[in-house]
Amino acid sequence: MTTTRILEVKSLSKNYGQGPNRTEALRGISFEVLEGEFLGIMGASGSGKTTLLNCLATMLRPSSGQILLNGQDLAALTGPALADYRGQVIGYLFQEFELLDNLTVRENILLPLLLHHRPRAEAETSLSIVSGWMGLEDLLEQFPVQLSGGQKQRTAAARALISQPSLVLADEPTGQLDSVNARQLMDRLALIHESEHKTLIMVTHDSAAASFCSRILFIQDGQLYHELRRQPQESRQDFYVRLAATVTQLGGGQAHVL
Amino acid sequence: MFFKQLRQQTRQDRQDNRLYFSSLVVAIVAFYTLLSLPQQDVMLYLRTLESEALQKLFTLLPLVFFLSLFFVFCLVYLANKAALERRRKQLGLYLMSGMRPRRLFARLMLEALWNSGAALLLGLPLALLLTEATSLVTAKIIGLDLLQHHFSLDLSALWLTIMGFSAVLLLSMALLSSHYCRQVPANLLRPQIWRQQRPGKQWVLRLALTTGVALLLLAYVGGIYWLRRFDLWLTALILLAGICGTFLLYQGLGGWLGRAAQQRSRSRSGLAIFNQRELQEHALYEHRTLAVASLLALLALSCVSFGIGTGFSRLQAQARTVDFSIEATQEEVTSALAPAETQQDIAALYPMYLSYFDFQDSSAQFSWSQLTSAIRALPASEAQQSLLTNLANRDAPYLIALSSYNNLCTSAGLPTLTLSDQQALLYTGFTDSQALTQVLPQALNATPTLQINGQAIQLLPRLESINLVADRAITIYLGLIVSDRNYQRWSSDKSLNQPFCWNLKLSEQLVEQDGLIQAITRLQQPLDAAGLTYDSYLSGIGRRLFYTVAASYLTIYLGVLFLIIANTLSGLKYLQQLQQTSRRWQTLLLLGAQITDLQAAWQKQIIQYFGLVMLPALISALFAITAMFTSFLKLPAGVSLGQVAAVSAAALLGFAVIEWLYIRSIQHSASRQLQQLASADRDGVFE
Ligand SMILES: Nc1ncnc2c1ncn2[C@@H]1O[C@H](COP(=O)(O)OP(=O)(O)OP(=O)(O)O)[C@@H](O)[C@H]1O
Ligand SMILES: [Mg+2]
Repeated sequence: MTTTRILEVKSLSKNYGQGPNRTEALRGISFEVLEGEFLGIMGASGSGKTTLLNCLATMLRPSSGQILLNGQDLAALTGPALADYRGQVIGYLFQEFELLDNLTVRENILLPLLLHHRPRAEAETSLSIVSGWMGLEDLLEQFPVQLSGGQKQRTAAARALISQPSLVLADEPTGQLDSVNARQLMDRLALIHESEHKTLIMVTHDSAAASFCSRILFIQDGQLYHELRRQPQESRQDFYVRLAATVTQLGGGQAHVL
Repeated sequence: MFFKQLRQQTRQDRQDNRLYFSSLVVAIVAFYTLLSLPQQDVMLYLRTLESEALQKLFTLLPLVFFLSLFFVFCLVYLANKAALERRRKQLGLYLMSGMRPRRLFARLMLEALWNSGAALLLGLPLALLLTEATSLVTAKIIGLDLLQHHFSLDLSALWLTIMGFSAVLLLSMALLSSHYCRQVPANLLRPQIWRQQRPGKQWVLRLALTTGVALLLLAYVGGIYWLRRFDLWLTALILLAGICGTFLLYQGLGGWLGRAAQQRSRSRSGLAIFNQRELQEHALYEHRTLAVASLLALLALSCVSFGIGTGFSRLQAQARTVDFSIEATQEEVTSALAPAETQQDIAALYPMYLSYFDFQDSSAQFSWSQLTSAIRALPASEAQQSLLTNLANRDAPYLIALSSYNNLCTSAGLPTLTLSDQQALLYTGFTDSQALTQVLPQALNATPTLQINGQAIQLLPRLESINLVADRAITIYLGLIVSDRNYQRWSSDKSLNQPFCWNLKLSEQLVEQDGLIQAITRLQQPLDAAGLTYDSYLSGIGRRLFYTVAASYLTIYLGVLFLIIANTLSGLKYLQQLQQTSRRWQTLLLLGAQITDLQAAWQKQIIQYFGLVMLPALISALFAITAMFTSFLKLPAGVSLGQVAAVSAAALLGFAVIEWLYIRSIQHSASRQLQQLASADRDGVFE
C-alpha cells in the first residue's frame, strides 16, 4: 500500500471577530492525511469542525498556520488557480446540498466540469459514471424540487465527484437525511472510497456514519484531542461499538449529557 | 442619534438602490416638465397669439397630470416595495427587538420623507435644466429662431411638483409600511422562499405560445389592413388581440426557453445553461410583469412615433412669403405706413386680388367638363374619386389675379409667370391632399381647356400653391390664376380696385437684424395705431405651432414616461430575483467558477433579460407604427421620407440610450453585489 501524504495541516488557527467578540474557533491544529484515507472528524457543536473543513475547502482564510495539499500551500492560491482548485482538486459535499434549483439534476452534476470548459464528450462519460455510482440514472431530467432529501444529497455527491477530485470534503452529509437515506449515501461513499481509492474527509455527529471511516479525529474547543483508528481486520460493527463508547466517554458529539 | 441613523439608512438605500432613487428623480422631472408647460416660452408666446386654443389645451393638463400622477404612483410603489423587500430581515429584527409597529411605521415614513427631500433636491434642478433645454430646443426646431429666451421658474409648478411627488411617495410608503409593520416578526425574518423550478404542464405552455403568436399575428395584420376603416369594434378587437397575444406569448415563452435550454444543455458551457435557466425562470414566474413591461414599452414607442408623426404633418415648413395681410383700402394702408422709418422696413406692399367668379353677370357660364374627362381617363383610385366629387360640387373656382400672384412669386424668390388671355393656371392651398397634388397634375398633363363665358381657356400643365396670405385662415381648395384683364372681366371687381387684402413683406435686413418676432411686433405698432385689421405670419405659425406642440409634446412626454416605467418595472423585478437567488452565485463561486466568468455571464444575462422584454415590444411597435402611418397619421406630401427617417432614427437612438442607461445601471448594481460576494469570499461567505 502506498502511503503518500496528500494533505498536511500545520498548526492551523482561525479567529472570528475582533476585540470582545473574538472567537478562537481553531487553536493550532496539526494533522496529516494519507492518500486513500477516509477521515472522520467529530466533536461537540461549536468545536470548530465546519471551520476546519471550510479552511481546507478555501472557503475561509486561516488566521495562521499552513495547509499543504500535495505540497502546495493553499494560502498562495488566487484567481484562476483558486477556481481550479475548487473545481477540480477538491469536491465539496455541503450539509444543505447547495444544489441550484433552477437546473436539472444533469445540469447540476455537470456544472463543475462545464464551468472549467471541459470537452463535452468527456463530461458526458464522467456524468454516466458518477450518476451510476449514485444511482441517479433515472432522475437526470428532474429538477431538485422534485427530489427527496436523499436523492438531493446523492446529486450533490455526484457533483462533488464528477471532476475526479483528489480530495472529497463532506460537512455532515447525512445531517439532513433519515437513517435509511443516510445509510444508502454512506454505503455508496464507502464503495467509491474502496473502488476508486478516493481520499475523503467527513465531518459528522453521527457515530453510525463515522463508523465507515478508517480514522476519526476528535476536536474540542478548536484543538485536536483524540484519535481513533479502525484496525485492519476490524468489522464496521465492531468499530461502531468502539466509536460509540469513545463518544460517550469523551462527551462529544450529540451525546452531551446535560 | 436617531437622525444620524436615519441619514445612514437612507444613504444606504440610495446606494443600494440606484434604480430606486433614479426612479424618484425621474418622477419629479416628469411632474415639473408637465406642470411648467404653461409657463414655458413656447407656450407663453403662443398664448399671445392663440389664447383660445391654448386655453383648451391647458384645461387638458390637469387630466394628464392626474394620469401621470397615477403612473408615477405605480412607479414609486414598485420601487418602494422592492426597497422594503430588501430590508425584510432588518424590519423583522426591529420588531423582534421590541420596537412597536407604530414606531416602526413612523420611522419608515420619516425615511420616506427624507428620501423624498433628497430626491427633490436633486430632481428639481435637473427638471429646471431639462425644461429650459427643451424650451430652447423646441424654439430652435419650431420657432425658426423667432423666440427670445427667458429663464423661467414656475413657482406654482414647483409647488405642485413638490406636493404631488411627496403625496405619491408618502401614500405608497404608508400603504407598504402598514403592510410590513403588521407582519409577525418571524414572517419577516424567515427568508422568502424563492419559487422553485417545477416544470409546468408542457402542453399548457405550448398552447399559450401558439395562441399568443397567432393572436399577435392577427393584431399585426389587422392593424395594417383594418385599422384604416376606423371601425370602433374592429379597433377594439385588434387591441384586444394584441394585448392578449402579448400576455400569452410571455406565458408560453417560459416553456419554450426551458425546452431550448434542455436541448442546448448538451452542447453549451455551464454558465450559458445557467443563464438560460435563469431567463426561463423570469418568464415562468414573472410572465405577467414581463408582459406589462413589454406592453408599456410598446405604448411608449407608439406614443413617441405618434408625437413625431403629428409634429411632421403639421410642421411642413412653408416658405415665408407674406408677413402681413391687411384688410383695408389703399388710402388707409398707405397713410398708416407713411412714416419714412416704417417705409424702410418694408420690402414689398401690394394688393392681393382674389375673388369669386361673378355669376351675377347674366352671360356668366363656367364648365370644368374637359378637366373632369381628363381626370376620369386616369386609372381609378380613391383620390381620383374624391377629386371628381369635389369638382362636381363646385360651380367655379376662386379667381386670382396674375399680377398679385407674381408679386408673391417675387417675394418667395421665384420667377414670375406670364399668361396670355387664353391661358390660366390652377392653384390649390391644400398641399397635403393626395388628390390635388398627385392626381390633378396628371390630368393637367393632358392640357384640358375650360369653357368660361363661351371662351376656351387653356390650362397650363402645372399646379401652383404658394401661400396667398399671411395666415392660413383661408385655404383655397381650387383657384384659377388668370391674367389681370380676365380677372376684371370675370370677377365682380371690374376696375381692379377692391383687393381681398394688402400683402406686406418685411425687409430681409430687418428680419435678420432683429429676429422675426421683433420685426413683426415693430410693424404691428403703426397698423394698430391706425386701427386696421390684419393677420400676421406669426399668428399663422402660431396656429400650426400650437397643434404641433400640443400633440407632439404631450404624446412624447407620455411616451417617455411609459418607457421609464417599463424599464423600472423590469429592472426592479430583475434585481429582486437577483437578490433572492444570490446564494446561487455563491454556490457557483464555490464550485470553482471564476469571478471574471461570472461577471461576463451576469452582464450577458442582463442584456438577455432586457432583450426578452424589449424585443417583442420592438417588433410589435414596428407593426403598430406602420399601422398608424397607413391609417390616421398620413404624412403630408411635402415631407420627405428621409426627414422622417432621420427623426425616427434620432428617436430610436434616444430609446437605445435610455435602454443602455438602464442596462448599465442594473449591471452596475449587479456587479456591486458580485463584488461584495467576491470580497467576502474566503472571509466566511457561508457562515
Ligand atoms: N462567521 C462566524 N463569525 C463568528 N463566529 C463564528 C463564525 N462561524 C463560526 N463561529 C464560531 O466559531 C466556533 C466554531 O464554529 P463551527 O461552525 O466551526 O463549529 P462546528 O464544530 O461546525 O459546530 P456544529 O457542530 O454546530 O456545526 C463557534 O464558537 C462559532 O460560534
Ligand atoms: Mg458545523
